Amino acid sequence: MLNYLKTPAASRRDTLRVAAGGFGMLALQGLAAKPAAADTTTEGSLSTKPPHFAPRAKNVIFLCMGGGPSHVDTFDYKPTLNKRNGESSPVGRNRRGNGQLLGSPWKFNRHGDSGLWISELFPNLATRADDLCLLHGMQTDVPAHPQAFLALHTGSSQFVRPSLGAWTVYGLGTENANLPGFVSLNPPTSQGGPQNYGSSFLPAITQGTPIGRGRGRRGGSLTVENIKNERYATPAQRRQLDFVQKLNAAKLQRDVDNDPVEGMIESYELAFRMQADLPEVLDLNNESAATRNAYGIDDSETEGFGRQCLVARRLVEAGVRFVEVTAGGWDQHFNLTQALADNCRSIDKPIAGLLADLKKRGLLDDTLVIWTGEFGRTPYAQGDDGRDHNNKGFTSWMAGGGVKGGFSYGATDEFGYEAVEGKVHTHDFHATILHLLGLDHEGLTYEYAGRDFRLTDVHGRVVEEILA
Amino acid sequence: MSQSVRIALCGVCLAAVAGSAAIEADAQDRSRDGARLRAILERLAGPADRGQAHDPDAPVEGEIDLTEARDHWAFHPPVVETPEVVRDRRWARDDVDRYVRAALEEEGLEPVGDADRRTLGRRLWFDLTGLPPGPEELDKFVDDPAADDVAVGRLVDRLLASPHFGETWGRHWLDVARYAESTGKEANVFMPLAWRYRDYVIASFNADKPIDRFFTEQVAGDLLDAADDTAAAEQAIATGFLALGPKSQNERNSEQYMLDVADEQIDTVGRGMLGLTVACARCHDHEFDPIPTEDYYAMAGIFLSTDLRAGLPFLQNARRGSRALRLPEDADVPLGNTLNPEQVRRIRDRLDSSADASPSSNPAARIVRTAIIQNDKAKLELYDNDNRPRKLAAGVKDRLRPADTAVRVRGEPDKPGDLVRRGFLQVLTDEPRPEIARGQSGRLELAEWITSPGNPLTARVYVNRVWGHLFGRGLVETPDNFGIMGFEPSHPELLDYLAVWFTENGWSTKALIKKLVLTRTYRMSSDYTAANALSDPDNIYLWRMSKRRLPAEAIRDAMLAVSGVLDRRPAEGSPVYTEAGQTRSAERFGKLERMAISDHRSVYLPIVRAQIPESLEVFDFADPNNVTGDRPETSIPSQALYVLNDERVMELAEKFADRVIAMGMSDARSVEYAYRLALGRPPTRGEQALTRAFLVDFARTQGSAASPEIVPRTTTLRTRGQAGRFADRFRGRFDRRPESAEPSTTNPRRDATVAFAQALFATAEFRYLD
Repeated sequence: MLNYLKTPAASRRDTLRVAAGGFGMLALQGLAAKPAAADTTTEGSLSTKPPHFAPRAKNVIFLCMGGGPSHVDTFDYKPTLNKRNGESSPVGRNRRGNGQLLGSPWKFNRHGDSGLWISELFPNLATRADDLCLLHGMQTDVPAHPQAFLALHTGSSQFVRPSLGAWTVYGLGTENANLPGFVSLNPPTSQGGPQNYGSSFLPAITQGTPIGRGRGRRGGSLTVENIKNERYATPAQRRQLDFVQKLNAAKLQRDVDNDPVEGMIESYELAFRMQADLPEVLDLNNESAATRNAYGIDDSETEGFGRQCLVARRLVEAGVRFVEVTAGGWDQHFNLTQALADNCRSIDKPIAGLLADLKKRGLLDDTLVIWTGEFGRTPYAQGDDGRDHNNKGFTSWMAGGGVKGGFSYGATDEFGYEAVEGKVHTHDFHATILHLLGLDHEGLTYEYAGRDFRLTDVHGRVVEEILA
Repeated sequence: MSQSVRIALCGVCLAAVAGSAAIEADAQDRSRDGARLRAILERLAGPADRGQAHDPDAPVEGEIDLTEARDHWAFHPPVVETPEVVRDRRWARDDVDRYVRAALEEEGLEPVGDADRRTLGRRLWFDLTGLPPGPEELDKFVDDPAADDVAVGRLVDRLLASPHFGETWGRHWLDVARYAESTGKEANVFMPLAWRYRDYVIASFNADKPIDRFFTEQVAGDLLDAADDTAAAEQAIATGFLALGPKSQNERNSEQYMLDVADEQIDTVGRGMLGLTVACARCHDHEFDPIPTEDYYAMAGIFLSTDLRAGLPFLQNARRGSRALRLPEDADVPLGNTLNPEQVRRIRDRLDSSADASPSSNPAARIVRTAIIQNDKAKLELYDNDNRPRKLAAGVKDRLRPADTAVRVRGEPDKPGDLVRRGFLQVLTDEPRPEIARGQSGRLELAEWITSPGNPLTARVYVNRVWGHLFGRGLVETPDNFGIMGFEPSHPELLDYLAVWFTENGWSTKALIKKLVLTRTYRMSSDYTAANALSDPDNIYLWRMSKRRLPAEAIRDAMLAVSGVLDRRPAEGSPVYTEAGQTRSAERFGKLERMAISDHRSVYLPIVRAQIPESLEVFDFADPNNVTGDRPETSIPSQALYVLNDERVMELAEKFADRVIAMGMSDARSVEYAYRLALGRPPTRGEQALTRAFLVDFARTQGSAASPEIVPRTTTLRTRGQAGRFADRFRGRFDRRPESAEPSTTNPRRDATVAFAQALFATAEFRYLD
């Protein structure tokens, strides 16, 4: 096992103290007479670290569909379900009698050379079929939003645990010290809120930086408040910050062990460095009209999510390790026909644009794109026009970074209710993502309270079958 | 003892990891937790496998075994067990300490010593009033010649009597009550009357209203006898608790809306008062807790027999309006910041003239005009024909014909099943469904049941909340969930003891807080010991006082207080009181930002869902869409950007600097005064030297004309994007706070002091309690 993977708090701080050029050095040894320059490389514990083995992907763009999109209407084609529409459901024993099977109101067609089945809800994305690796056998433990959403993000629905993005940054560091290693665009405040991008016991610097106040809705603005200091030019601000950090370091020394303060110190440095780079990265004005159009930014229906996808590409391009983009509102207990169509339309073109753009720039090989909800939906109806939560089988997909394109893995039963082959549990999903990043999910551990913790707890299987 | 055992005391979770090497190893552990773990594993191995509860298909209705479910610790009435005799008997000041010390001894942990008075004073000021002590006040406490117990007791009495106590502890309850002044969700409509409930909560804590009474008023205040009109008004306002939740004002199906409102009310009462997630049972038997769907609809019947009176307008895009509650004419209630009759008359005139105007051919203009007309109409609802404010509140009252309701199959409005008699949760009572007074909703009976001494949850859940606010973590770490999925208490005997003590002492919050802050446990220092930290890094067993970050409100209030600009008077009403309709237009023109500019305490800032003021949002303010018993704590770069770059923080730093400069003291004394104001202590010798070096250095570089590093504020502080620009343009007209004097750009010494003042705001120490 690599040394850095087992770093108790005290030695982590030692690292901080001796890091060449690190502020800790400046602050604790009183060498701050000469302020560091704006482009200082005091990246603290964010510095790049070697993976366990050769990675297939370097970055992740995680497209998170909060609410649980229906798989049988999008990616999981079920002719039997359609044929038996209206019959009493033979699957999903309900407490008060069975619901009626609800066939998909949308047509499915084969797409690309691979001939993947994709519904007409995704006409643009369907043109990228040969990039997609569909996972039809997804499963999660709990069919309730907060638990499943947290499990998807942290592997645990009950305890506060580090997020997938935090584990990734902990394992690999990040390539641009002037930006956070993990960014979450418009994260929702419910379903566990910040826990979903939190670092828990991992160093606080690995936690996601939320950008935008969209709260999981599409179309929130992607600005960062107070990113510019209107009063002090950079050297003056640096001088002020050095003073603050010396007082903070002194407190940390008095406290001996204080992870939140340590995290705060690092977040100040990151914030200072972000001022220089982030506004530029978030500014979409320099993108060509063609690019903006490809992401659907010109169209009010796709603009919100299109901007998020384009920003995600720019962040990855700038060296951010893990970017999450949330689009909520997939909880179609009723009004499925209208609401699901609207939702799909709002993300279809942007995602197709993202995949095409990544490919064109040669970024898709190094970037793993993930699309998933916290669970799927039932093949039987709720009301006349709705579907209930389904944790027993649903579809996620991956693209780029080391997965087989135009590939479909696993299957649900003939109705789309329960995964019957190629099952991929949340823990397996996580293990596979880490594997693609060159990290062994059993080796990526953190010692806390006398025990080694992992993202996958005592579970997880790398889904070898989908590796390119 | 490892983390996994300490926390994994829940059967469902353990089922998932049972058999793993780590768990088996933990089960061999000889401590109390090890024994507990073995017991649970045995139970799991038996036929009544709780792990099965995970399978949503497994239990068919009626199969929830209530008798077995009643085994859950939290469903037993609390029982006082005499604390074990501890080795160091002099350590304990109170029974609370004896329980804590017993657990420490069992875990082999040695508690640290007492905090010094200065540290303890700052801790008490913030915990009890949410504000920093003034340097003179703190000195007086530190120098009090009385014995510690006497001096601390006196201070605690004083702080509990301060009106700021209610503002701070009322805010804790507002987190639970998911208080906000708009409906949230897609339509997000202002709720202009919400502030009355906020003021009611603050006043209740200041008056130390017994919590059983406080809960009863919030669930059924309108059904209680009232001594006079004023009392009747207060009790009606209390029911705002049920009215202020998030709502889909654009829901098309009115029955769906009613079911959703009732569901939200059940959820808030359930989690807020009982620590149970009842609402999960809406569509099916609860996945985890023993709450059959029947129980849910028994409670839903109560709330569906209740009429929402939230004072929400009927809008074109948000049609689920509801009238407001009319308060008795003679009730002595505050007026709030109403529009004056002249302003109301102008709205009336505008409405009249728009009725005459011919519709515009421009569709966009038509939409804007419709919105203005609708909002004007909504505003006028709050005034009588003489343009004087009506006495209104948001709350609930009983429907004309209360009735039982039917189970909705899978929660669907159009699938009514069997009628269920109104009632409560069977798992907490083995008595038959209660008799509900004829013609009443049953809220009064529900309130009586919640606050009855026999209810095993209410007092436990409440004392745990209070404990959490004073110690940084509840004895039960999941304060809103005492069900199967919640954590077990770290100190079960202590929790029971406190619950019983609380009910026997008149459900008094102040008495409980006083008892707790006088303990040895609370008065310990937060010093680190390596040996303890190794086995209990999270301080679960309370071997020291935990270091805690201040809540968002306290950080902002402290900046205002230290700068000398804090307006300590309660705010009148709310900026939202003069708004109506959807929040959208106010968002667009930066009006919400302007509304949040205030020198009053943070509890009085407008809380519009999805538009929480930046100063609060950035420091993990509670999400008002949810019952929040413990806020998350992040440390993210946005917080640094806020304290280092925010215009308002910079203004406060100027005020703070000027306050220090105005004392006309020597350099050394000035620096000392600033530290005492901001951090409650004088600087160390090293800090004194460091600071003065910083001041000289900063002033000198600023003075060098070659590269002016400080940009004059007048020319630059106006470029924060469109919203900011609007805010700035209107500020002069709307903001009652006088503009600060423009800073001199030719006074390097002052500039340096301002930079230093802001630096103190930015330190970790400013926002942490030792």
